[in-house]
Amino acid sequence: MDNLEMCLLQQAVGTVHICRGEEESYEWKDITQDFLEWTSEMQEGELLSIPSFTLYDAMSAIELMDHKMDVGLLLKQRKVTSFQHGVDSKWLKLSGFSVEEYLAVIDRSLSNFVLWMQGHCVAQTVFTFVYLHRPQDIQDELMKSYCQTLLALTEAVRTIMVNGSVFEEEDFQVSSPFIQSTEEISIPSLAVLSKNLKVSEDVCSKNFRRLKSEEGQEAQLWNALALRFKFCKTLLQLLTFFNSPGSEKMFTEVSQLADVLLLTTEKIVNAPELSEEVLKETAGFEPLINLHLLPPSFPRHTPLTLEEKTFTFFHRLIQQVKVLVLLPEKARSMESLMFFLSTEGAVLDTTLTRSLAQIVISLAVNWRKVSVNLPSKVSSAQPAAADFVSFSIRAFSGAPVLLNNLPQLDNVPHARDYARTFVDSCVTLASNVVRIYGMNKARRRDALATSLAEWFSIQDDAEKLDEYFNLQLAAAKLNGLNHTFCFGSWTLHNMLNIMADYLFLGLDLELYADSELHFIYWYLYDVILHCHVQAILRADAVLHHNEAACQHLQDAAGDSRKNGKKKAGKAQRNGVDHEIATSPSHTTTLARLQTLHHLCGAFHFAILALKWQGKLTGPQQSLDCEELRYYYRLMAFMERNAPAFVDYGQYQLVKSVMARNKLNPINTLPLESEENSWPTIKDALDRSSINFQQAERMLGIWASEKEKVALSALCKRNDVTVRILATNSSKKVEFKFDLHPWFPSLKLS
Amino acid sequence: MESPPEVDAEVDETRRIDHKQKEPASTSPFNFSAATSPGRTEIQKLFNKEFKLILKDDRVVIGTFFCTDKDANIVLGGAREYENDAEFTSRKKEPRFVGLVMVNIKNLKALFVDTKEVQTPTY
Repeated sequence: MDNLEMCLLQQAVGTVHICRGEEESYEWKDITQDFLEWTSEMQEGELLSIPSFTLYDAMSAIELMDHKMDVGLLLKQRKVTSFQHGVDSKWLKLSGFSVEEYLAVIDRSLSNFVLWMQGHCVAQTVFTFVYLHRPQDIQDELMKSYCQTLLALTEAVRTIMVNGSVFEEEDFQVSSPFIQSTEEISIPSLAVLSKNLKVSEDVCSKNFRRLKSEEGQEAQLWNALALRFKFCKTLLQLLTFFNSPGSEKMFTEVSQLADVLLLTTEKIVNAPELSEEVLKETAGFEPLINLHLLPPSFPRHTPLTLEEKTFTFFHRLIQQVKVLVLLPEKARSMESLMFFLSTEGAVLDTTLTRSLAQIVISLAVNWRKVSVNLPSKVSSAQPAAADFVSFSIRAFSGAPVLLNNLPQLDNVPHARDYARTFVDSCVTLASNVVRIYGMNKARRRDALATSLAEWFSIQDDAEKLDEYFNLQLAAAKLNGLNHTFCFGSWTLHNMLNIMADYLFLGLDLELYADSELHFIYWYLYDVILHCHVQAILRADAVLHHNEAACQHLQDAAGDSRKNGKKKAGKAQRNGVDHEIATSPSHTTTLARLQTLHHLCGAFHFAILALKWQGKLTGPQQSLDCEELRYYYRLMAFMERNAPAFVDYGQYQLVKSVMARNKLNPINTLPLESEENSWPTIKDALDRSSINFQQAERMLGIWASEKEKVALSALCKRNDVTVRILATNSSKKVEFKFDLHPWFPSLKLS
Repeated sequence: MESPPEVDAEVDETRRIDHKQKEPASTSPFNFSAATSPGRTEIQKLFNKEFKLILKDDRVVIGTFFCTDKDANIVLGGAREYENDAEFTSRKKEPRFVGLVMVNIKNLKALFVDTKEVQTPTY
């Protein structure tokens, strides 16, 4: 390996071990003038270099003394280079802070803290606060306890992010260089910190009470400070719960702490705040102080302030934590977990809460713990992933082969083994999907498309197994039990879930042009959601059938037994009943899917009518190829059998069949017969209106209050718009995604 | 009427021909491999040696010499930056690692080469 490669390698791994040791010395010779003479002998454009060094390599070099590339130039502008330097030059004071100074320091450092949580480098955000470099040297007790708390908070957040492990480089930088000195700093324990913060809070409250009667703003400022200390204390306690989980009462306590935090942040937000100028001029912050620690090509720009107010962000964050508290109850089966994640869980949009959600789920389901004895009863504490998945399948479609209490099953060759293998492979996929739902939206969309391939292959296995088990059940004289579609419906349900979410995420990320919306909604309406509703209905039927058959079989077995055993048999049967009773019914899932189905249908018909009316202006026809767009948007579903991919030809056919059967397509209509076209376009708009009404009616069954309000308003508004369009054709229409990210409201203009 | 573009085209044509005639067909303008001179030999001797650059703002950069051109743009690999010469000699503070850098001699106060014989490890 030559020197260049060595250097590049060291650059890549980020280590510098090429400095010579202390004992070694250099013998420098000045060659400034000689070098100029030597190079003057060269020709224009000539490059003299070591072998294997090219112009391309030279281009990637950082140009020194260049204002855009050379960070070293910026380093000269620093007011202070270290904590000690700041103290020596009297820039940092260690005691005698005024109440405004406390407030300014806390507000600005917390805003930096939030910036860090939103994905900026820790060295350029949290640690630009110079006091954090040596909190033990601060003489002022209030400032000291605050600095130590901030360090503890930083560490707590970092641990949560690492444990949740759903962040990407754009969400959070865990590997960004920490200040070296943090290693020397010991952060006191939570108990000590809480006590210190309580003392600080009391000091502030005392000052507030003392000054309350006097005129001036100072009393209010002390009160604001007390609130901030309380906030820090509670936030630290809350985050620590997730890092050392244990007791079952954890979520009750988390919920209580979250309530306190919500109240505190509300008070802080409503109180008067320091102005931006005061915050900017606060002593103790040096944005460039850690620049020398960053890699040379590191982005230098970090915004100084947040887009939203710090405490508004915290308020939002805590509201999301309140949602998380509901999660453990929902994580009993895959179906209810996914339902939760795609409805109430959709509000979790910060990296911290997404990581927290993963931690909470892993508390409920241990993905790594492999079940020894399958199928077994769901243990109360923490079921192994295989038990979780087999419970999910059993609750979804009542797969007989996964039932615990059918001794006849032991006679069926390989039944248990095959079922175990299948469940194990489902565990990998299920854990993967749960993780994907923790990612940010753009990454989630990509990852969902990738995971579809895996689900597709397991779908094949599931169908084959269903067929095999059906034969075996018949052979074992377990008549009445039906295995058709038991495994298959569960995998299909998950797959269709992924497919629909893939398209909805596209809407969420505003990827589709207005001219593409039609085939997206049509595909969802006619293919994915249609299939999904059918799949759930079939699974529900199979579930009820098997439930009844199972009961019948056990009653028969119970009759032939003696009285003593009968009791035990009954107890066991009650166990089955209990299991199936606690499984989430398909009602909510089905209602949600039907709502979405109606909504997509409504938009499909509405946009179709708008197209016929010529109110949708697409791209210029000579430059547009809808076929290409169609395949590009739905590429992830190609070569999938369940449900079969519907190609563009069929889409065209559906459009034209619709046009021929019920409605005359607009482009073949002669202008004078425009009147004739009205009933046909009206048809489409009427169907759209009916679908909006049906969707709105179903909302009550499943939607949370917030979603219900938004979707209900959307349905009502669009219903009215569509009906106006049916009677008055002169109005133009715009799509505005203002009420819901997936569905636009149609606006007349 | 006169048509200036035509004249221009004609001039261009002649220029192109001239250019072709002046240039020997055998050598491309970017083929310098054959060129040798005392200065070039001296530069080649410096390759892979440690350079010390003192920049206009007193920063000191140490790195391995890789490449140069007619304008004396110097490319160093594995470069470390010290705030000033005193900091470099005292070695009390860790340098800032900059990696592959390029600097023009115009931006330098002085340029040094390490003449001490060092056994270079072979990889």
